[in-house]
Amino acid sequence: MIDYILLLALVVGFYVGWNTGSNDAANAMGVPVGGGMISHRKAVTIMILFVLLGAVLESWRVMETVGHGIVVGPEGVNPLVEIPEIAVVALFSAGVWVSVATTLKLPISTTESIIGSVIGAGLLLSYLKPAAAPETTLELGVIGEIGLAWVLNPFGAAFFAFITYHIAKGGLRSIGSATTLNRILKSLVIATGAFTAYSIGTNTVGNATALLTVVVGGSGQEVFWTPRLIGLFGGIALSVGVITYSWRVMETVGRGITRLDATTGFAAQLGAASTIWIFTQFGIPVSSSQAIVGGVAGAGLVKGTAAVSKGKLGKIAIAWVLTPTAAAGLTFLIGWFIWGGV
Amino acid sequence: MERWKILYLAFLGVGFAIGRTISPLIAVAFIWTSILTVEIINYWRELKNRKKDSKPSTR
Repeated sequence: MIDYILLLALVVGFYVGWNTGSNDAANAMGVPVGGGMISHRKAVTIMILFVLLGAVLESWRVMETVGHGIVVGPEGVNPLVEIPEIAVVALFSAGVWVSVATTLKLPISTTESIIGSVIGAGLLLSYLKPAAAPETTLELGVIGEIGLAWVLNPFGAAFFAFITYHIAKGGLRSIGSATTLNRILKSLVIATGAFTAYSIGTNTVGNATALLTVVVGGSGQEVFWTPRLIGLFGGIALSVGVITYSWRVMETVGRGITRLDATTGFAAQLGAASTIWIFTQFGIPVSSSQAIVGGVAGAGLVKGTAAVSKGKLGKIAIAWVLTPTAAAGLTFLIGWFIWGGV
Repeated sequence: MERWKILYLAFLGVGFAIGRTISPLIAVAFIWTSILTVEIINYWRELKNRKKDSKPSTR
């Protein structure tokens, strides 16, 4: 028999992954494409290869935190696994909010939408107290850690980018030939682009597919749908987004970033990628867009200029508050309408 | 849509089928090998065309 709940979760999960791919490709490949170092085709190729690698090898860490660490029941029971329909509503709400915010051009982060939706699902369960999960609580310690990580993410990326810029500038100064210098810089920018793509695979894919692990657990198919297979599914969804819709965003963001220079772009990307990857090791979901903005700001500080406008930093602050609140509210309202309002 | 994009999408589809039936790691290895093979062939073709274009005309 077809498991319709799982099928629906896969469709919505694919949409969220596709949307992330079309927007986040610019964070990894904006610098080399915007700077004319590689073609769009090569950028797409590198992005796909490394996102898939990161998704299959390491995305399970973030999946575990988001899917099973935020909403908890007594004796280690995950209430979302008991009632997977609510996990589907949470995933659907995150997808709807991402689409609405993109259409309205509001500052958006898929990561923060999903966390908000999971919190909304937890609030809904603790409000409704269904028979299958009567004692649902939100793990405030984990939510606090994630919130702290969101604030630290752009600052960490800025710090790493600042350090990288200093080291790179010193090392590259000794290279006399301009041609050799350009070649080295090009290779460095492409390599850090690949590392950023890998980090996005480990963190963003894990976050986008976390609720799938819950639905899979609820439908009793966790032996077949292993975390690695779910990671592959998420990586493929993101890759389809990169192939079909990333071109315009990549060019626009890339131009904005490369108004600086190749060394700054390289430092910004390395700072962002390292920060995202470090948070992945702790299983904490963070936004790649906010990491790259932090990276550019950090590398720009070296020059004593404001590389990133106050408007962009303000948008991050709005995204921290608006996105999770809206996604949580939407999940709660849809769930209440379906299960509580009748 | 360009031909290479359609080809990439097909590789991803086959890769997912491999992931479901054999192993996700083998699926990634398949996608890597397929895409890199296409890119190497494309590079070789571009190189050949460039050489052809740079040859002086005999007429």
